[in-house]
This record gives sequence, structure tokens and C-alpha cells, in this order.
Amino acid sequence: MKKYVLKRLLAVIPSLFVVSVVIFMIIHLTPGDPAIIMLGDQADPAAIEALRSSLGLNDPLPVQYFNWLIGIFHGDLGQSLYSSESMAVILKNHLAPTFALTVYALIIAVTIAVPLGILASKSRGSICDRIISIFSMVGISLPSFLLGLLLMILLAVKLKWLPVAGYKTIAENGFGPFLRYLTMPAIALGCMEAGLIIRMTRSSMLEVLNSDYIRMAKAKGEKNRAIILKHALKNALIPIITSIGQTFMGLLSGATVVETIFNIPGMGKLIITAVSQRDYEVVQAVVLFVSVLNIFICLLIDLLYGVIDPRVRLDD
Amino acid sequence: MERILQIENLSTSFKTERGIVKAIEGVSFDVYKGEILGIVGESGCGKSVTSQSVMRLYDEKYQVQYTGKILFNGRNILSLSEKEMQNVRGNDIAMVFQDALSALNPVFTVGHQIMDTLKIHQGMKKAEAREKAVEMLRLVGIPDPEKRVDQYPHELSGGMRQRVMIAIALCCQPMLLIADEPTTALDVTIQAQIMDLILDLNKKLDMGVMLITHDLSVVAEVCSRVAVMYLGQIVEEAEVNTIFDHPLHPYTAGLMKSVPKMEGERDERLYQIKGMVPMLNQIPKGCRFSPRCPYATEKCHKEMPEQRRVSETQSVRCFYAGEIDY
Repeated sequence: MKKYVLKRLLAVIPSLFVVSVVIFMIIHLTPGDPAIIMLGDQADPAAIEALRSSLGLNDPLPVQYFNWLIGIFHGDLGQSLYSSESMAVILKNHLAPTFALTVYALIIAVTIAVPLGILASKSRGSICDRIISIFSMVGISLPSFLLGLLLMILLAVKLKWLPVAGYKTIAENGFGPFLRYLTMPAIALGCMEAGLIIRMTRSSMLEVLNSDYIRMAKAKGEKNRAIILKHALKNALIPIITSIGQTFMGLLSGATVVETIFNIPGMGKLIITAVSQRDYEVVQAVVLFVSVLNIFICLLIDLLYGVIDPRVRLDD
Repeated sequence: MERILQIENLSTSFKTERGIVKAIEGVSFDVYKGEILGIVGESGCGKSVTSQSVMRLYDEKYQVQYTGKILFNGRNILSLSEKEMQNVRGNDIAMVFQDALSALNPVFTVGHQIMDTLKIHQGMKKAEAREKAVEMLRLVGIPDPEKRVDQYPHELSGGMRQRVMIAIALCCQPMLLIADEPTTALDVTIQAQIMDLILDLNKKLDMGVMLITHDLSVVAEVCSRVAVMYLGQIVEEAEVNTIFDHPLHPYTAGLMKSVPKMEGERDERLYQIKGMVPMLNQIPKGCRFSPRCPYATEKCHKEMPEQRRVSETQSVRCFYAGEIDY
């Protein structure tokens, strides 16, 4: 297992390198001169030149890349054109809502999807299986913003159980309001992702339930519950965890629409604002941050594979 | 001798997309304490269905329907509740599967898988069960059991995996062991070791063994009695010597003739039974073997012969048993 962990950790390095190069190139491949964009078209050429050299834009590309990388390792992620706050603070402020929303949605998705997927596989072909199938199809095909709007009408406008939109931090308002404000968007996102995880769980469980070792478990006198939850589920987990991981990554960078509808100041909102304002350094920082986060989620999933299945951590 | 398993007129049907298919029909045989009964037949003749029916391993809700009786120590297994059945499986009746690699759970250590059974049926605690698991591994001849107990199935060789399966099956000292082609997936030297092991444990523990195989040499070596199956029915049941020396059913006779012999010319072609085993949904009318039988008459094509007893120890399903000289 140690060797497996080490190998996985080492494999992260090339991914990080590729990601950093691509992100670095974003700014340099975008048309236009950042200095001109920052100072405006009418600026004095001398001022532009001064800014260029102070930004290091006159250095050769590899040198610029190297300096940029060193800056990142020192915590210097660049400076927003429109905000005086440091990049780290901007990222932190916007990451917190997105991360909370993602985790909340994921918890909802997994608690709905895994038991339903197992139930569907256990009662394959029955009415129960069909109802779950329909539910998952609806989850997959219904856009989350539509579900979000429907939930708003029902839970906020008609029943007045939950606030319509907005975001409250734990620090200022406590945990209760924080959760109340996130519940509707989390349900909207969670139901969508649940559809996918249900299908994955069902098909993965079905495959496992047909295997010889499940018959063997039955022949040993195991109870049905233990057969499903212990012998089958542990074997079926790898595809399930993969799809949960993908969901996690998808939500981190893809909750934009729902964030917009519910007016949550998350990463999605940050990047949309930054792109529309041509605030390149912010875009770069956000993309870098999300990519690195995704690489580490992948690493985590890989390590979980090793924990679940001894054959994965084989030392070759 | 004490009879532990008595199967009477057992039929197992499966619900399939093309309607209900009877995989075995009217199967009757007994297993006595301490004996090894061989069940032989071609692939698809219903050997495995018979054995898995005894354990009631199929999904009864959606898949299968049983009729007839399976009496185990006088109690009809088919009328037990699922919960009562769970107490029988692995405890009174245990099973060894054909391919140990696919029958052992890949994500649990072999020790864990042996301990499962002990925890379920004997209520053992972890430490006690572990000790017993090591002891079982030693009993089935696995070297260095303290180390092996913590290994995963993929870390063991094929022969060792099969030994682990036998250890799992035997850890609660069952009265009946069903071995479903336990040596088919192994190479010849390991096959012999595993058969010796089963034979040895059968004597030591005095349990009944139902040995399912298509290997007639294995049958000749270890079984005391043999039941021959063809297309979901038992066509002949007798003591092992009788089956080999005086088979009464044309199918049994054909099987015996098709065994390669050490004497004789090498380029001599092996005997083969003409035709193919029909599909289960195209079962012939009359005697099921009649389309392939060289001795079949009009009557054979029209009527189904009943299984009848021809002597104390031999029964056969053929109109002309004893009249044909093979």
C-alpha cells in the first residue's frame, strides 16, 4: 500500500506541471497586450512600456513562467484589476460558499442515490426498480436550474419554508441560517447528480450480484442484508466512487447556473464576473485553483480505490 | 447406512424471456452418511442446477420454482423459510464451487471469508474465529497458515484457493458436502491433491459428499455410487463398479465407451455418442435420449420411461434395460 500511495503521489507532479503550463499560457495566448488592457487604449506608450517591464512581460516566456511559478509558491496568485483585496482573500471568500454547497449537494445526492441504486438492483425488473429508473432519468434530464426555480416556487413562495435566495455565512449568522439558505440549491444540484449515481450504483451492483462469490456468500449462510451491504457493495464501490468523485469535481466548477439563480457569491459567480470584466489574473487564479483541487480529488479517489480493492494496490 | 439426503421427484424450472424452462425434471436420489456419490453428465445436463437446488441458491422471487421434495435428515428443505435455510447453508450443508478464483470474494482476506462462516453459525468472536481459521487452513494442507490467513485470494495459487474453499465449506463440520466440479479449473497434479484431500476429509469427518463432475476417472477413483444425468434427468444410478462394468442405460454405456483406453491402437478414433444435447426448450417427446440412442424403438420416441429399480443398488430409466448387450 505504501508503494501504491507513493506512486499515486508522484503521478500528481506531471499533471500539475501540465495544468500550470496551460493556465500560464492563457494570458499569453489571449489577444491583446495585458499592459494596454490595464492602462487603456489611450495610454502613454512610455507608461505602457514601463508597466510591461514591471510586470516582466518583456522577459522570454520560460523566464516569465518560472517567475510566475515561484510567485505562486510564495502565495502570490496575482492581483485583481478591480479589487484591492489580495487574490487569496478573494478566492477564499468565493470558495467557501461553493465548497459548502458542493459538499451539501453531494451528501444529498449520495444519501438518495446509493440506497436507491442498491434497492433497484436488488429488485431488478420490479415496479420499485422501474420507479427508481424513472426518478433517475428525470434527475439526469431535468436541468438543475429548472428544478431550482420549481423548488423556489414551491418551498419559498408557496410554503415559505425556506428563503428564496441568498447566502449567509456561518461566522456572521450561525449554522442554522447558513444551512437554510443553502438547502434549496443543494437539493437542486443533489437531485441532478443523484440520477447519475443511481444508475452507476444499480448497474455496478447488478454486475456484482451475478458473480460467483455472491452465490458463495449465500451458500455460506449469510443473511441477505450482509450479502448486499458487505459482500456485494464493497466490490461495487469502485465505479460508484468514481462517479461520486466526478460529481464532486463537476459541482465545484459547474454549479455556476444554480449559484447565479440563488444569488450565491461562489466560484461560479466570481469567474463569470472576472471573464466579463476581462480580469485575467482572477480568471487565471480561479482556473489554477480549481484544477489543482480537481487533481487532488482524483488523487483522493485513486487512494480510495487502493483502500477498497487490494488488487488495485498490487506492487508491480 | 444412515440416509442424510433424500431427493424425491425434484423439478427446478426457471422463468426466462422465452417462458418457463425446466432445467431438471423428476430427479430422485439419496446420499448416505459417509459416502461419496458422484453425479456425472455432460455440460448443461443439470448437475449444477441439482446441487444448487439442494442449497436453494437461486432467486426464488424472480427466477426459479421448485417442485418435489428434498429431505435432509427427514426435513423437507423446500418448505423451510429463508431464515431457517440460512441456518442450513454453510452449517449442515456446505458447498465447494468450481472456480475458486471467482467464488472467493476478491476484496476480503481468505481468513476473513473463513471467519464469516464461523461467526454466522457458531457465534464465534473475532479472535477465536481467527484461530479456528488458521487451524482450518492447516487442516486442508496450506503451508504457513498464519501468514496465508491475512492474504487475499489473488495472492494464492489456484490449488491453494481451492483448498481455501474447502476450508470454508468444512469449518462448521457439515453433514453433507456438495462439491461442484471442484477440480475442473486446476491442473492434473493439483487435481489429484484436491481429490485426495476431499477423500481424506470425507473419511475423517464421516460426512456425505455429493461430487459433481464430468471426469469419469475421478468418479472411478473416489465415488462409492454414481448417478448419471442426461438432459435434466437421472438416467441411471448404481454402485461405481456396476456403472463401469455393467451399465444398463445406453447413454451410460456410451459414456463409458468414450473414455480413452490405455491399451489398443493409438490412432483408433474415440467413441462418440452421435448427435448433440438438445436445448432445454427443444426437449424431445418420449425418452429424452431417444434421438441419439442407437437402440431406440417406436415406443422410445413416444413414451417417457420411468426410473425403475432393477436391483437393490441399481435403478435405470430405460424400457430395454438389461435386454441390450453393450
